[in-house]
Amino acid sequence: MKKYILLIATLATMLSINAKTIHWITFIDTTDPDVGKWDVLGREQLYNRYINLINAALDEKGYNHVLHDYYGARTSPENCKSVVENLSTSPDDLIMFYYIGHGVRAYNDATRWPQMALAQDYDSKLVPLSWVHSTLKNKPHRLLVTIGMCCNSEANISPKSAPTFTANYGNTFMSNEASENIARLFLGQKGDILLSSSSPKEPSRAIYIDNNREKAMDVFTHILTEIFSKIMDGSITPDWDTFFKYVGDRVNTIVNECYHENQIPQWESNLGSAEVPDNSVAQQSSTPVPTSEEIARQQTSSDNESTDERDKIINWFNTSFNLMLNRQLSDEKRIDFAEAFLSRLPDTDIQVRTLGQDSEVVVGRQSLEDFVGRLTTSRVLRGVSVAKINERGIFVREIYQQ
Amino acid sequence: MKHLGTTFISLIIIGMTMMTSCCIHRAADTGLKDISAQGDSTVTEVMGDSIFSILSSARTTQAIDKSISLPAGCDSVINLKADATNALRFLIGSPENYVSDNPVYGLFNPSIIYIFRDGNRQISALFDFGLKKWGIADKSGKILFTRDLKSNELLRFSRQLFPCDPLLESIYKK
Repeated sequence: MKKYILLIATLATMLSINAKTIHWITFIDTTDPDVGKWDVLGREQLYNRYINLINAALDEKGYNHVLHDYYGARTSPENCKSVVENLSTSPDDLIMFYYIGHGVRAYNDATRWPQMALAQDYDSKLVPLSWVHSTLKNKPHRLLVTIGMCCNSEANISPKSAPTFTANYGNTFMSNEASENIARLFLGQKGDILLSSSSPKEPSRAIYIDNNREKAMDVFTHILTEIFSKIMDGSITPDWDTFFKYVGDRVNTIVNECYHENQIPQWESNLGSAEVPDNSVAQQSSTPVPTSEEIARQQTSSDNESTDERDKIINWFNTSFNLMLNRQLSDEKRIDFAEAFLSRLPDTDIQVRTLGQDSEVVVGRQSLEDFVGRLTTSRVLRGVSVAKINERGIFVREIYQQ
Repeated sequence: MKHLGTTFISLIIIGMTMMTSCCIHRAADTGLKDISAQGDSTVTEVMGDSIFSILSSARTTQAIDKSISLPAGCDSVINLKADATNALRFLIGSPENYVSDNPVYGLFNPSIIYIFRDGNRQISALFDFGLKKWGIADKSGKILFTRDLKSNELLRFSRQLFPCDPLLESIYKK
């Protein structure tokens, strides 16, 4: 008992000191009859080859990560307006907004940025990307990156400045160098950037992956993650303007080759250099703790629908798992935390299934107790990301030291 | 005898003239209606015979501009005369506009609609010039297919009909 009180007290002390968080707000239209199925792949690639890697790297710099993962029926203008307006941040936080879906612009829009459809067709409910950026910019942050992957072609809509109502089949590996390069990109600059995947009057396009006509996704996200891997391996300087220049050039080249048209991503950056902090332990204070009933509900759920409750539970699992494998804590502390974690769960007799980086193929399976045990003693695991939790268990993706 | 000879020669001359006139290519009278009524196989394959027959035999065509930016006082509905209908048919029948329907991340929101009527039968050709997409809808408004617009000809045509539409003008200036 004393051990648990001491553990909780230690964690509470850690909680109150310099909590730093990277907030991910992703809205992905996976239900659209034309592009929805491609956006399912786009979301997976975005998370598996970009977001999860960044979270793992920044975890070593003391950053928690919080996901606001909107897809399926939850992609809506109302949810976008709500999460953007209500996001609570601290000055050292990073804010990342990413949209994949349809977009348009009015011929007389005051800015060059598109309006996002967010899985609906009504003009009155379109949300300007520039509004998202300016609203988030008013919140405390160290770095803000707003990305809209959508068309920017002119359409029969009204101009707006604000809402008017409102593929690896195995594990992921990441080297220390990659982790440091990610840290340089995300922590080596301060300020804000706004980007849209096409310039005014241009649509944004999709491509078939690996010449497979059953497998398509948007060009921009595909290239973003491809160029991001070059940031990680050091072949491209980890700064945002260089990153986006490579992405923009490559996107336009591919669209020229496939469609004989232009698609030129555009961005505005207001950045200054910053010092990359040393490694530290991520704090937990910003992660709400789900109740036992909420966890039980998610564990018996058969679907993977995007909900607030799902986000909350997955965020807590992610934070807990990553704290357990954090090598800056002693083995004892990691084990103690694991025991406290297991004691909160209504059912520990569930399976943890490990998925490949770019697939739904299960590459490993073990009980939750064994999985937690492995995390607390691992020397090679550097990150875990929960993909889904349902009646079949907890599905995770693991990032290994390379 | 002399009379017979003259008659014979006359008959020969007449016969030769008739034969010659069969070999002379007479200039046919062809109008735009005749040209526009002929369908390329690419077009008929995509449209289907029943839709193509409405398009090619429609007696009246109505052009509608749904742009929310159309200034007051500008016509938003125009009835096309026969020659304009034929020109429109010809442009719609361009095979290059049936080749592809590539995916884009924009909403299909047509601002220009051409309604073809043949008695009780009706189809609409819908154009979203900003997205460079067009489509055909049936009488109930159900979209039957969409395709990519490969040239600016129909945009030019529409601008002629609706010269004060700022959306069309802005798209054309791209």
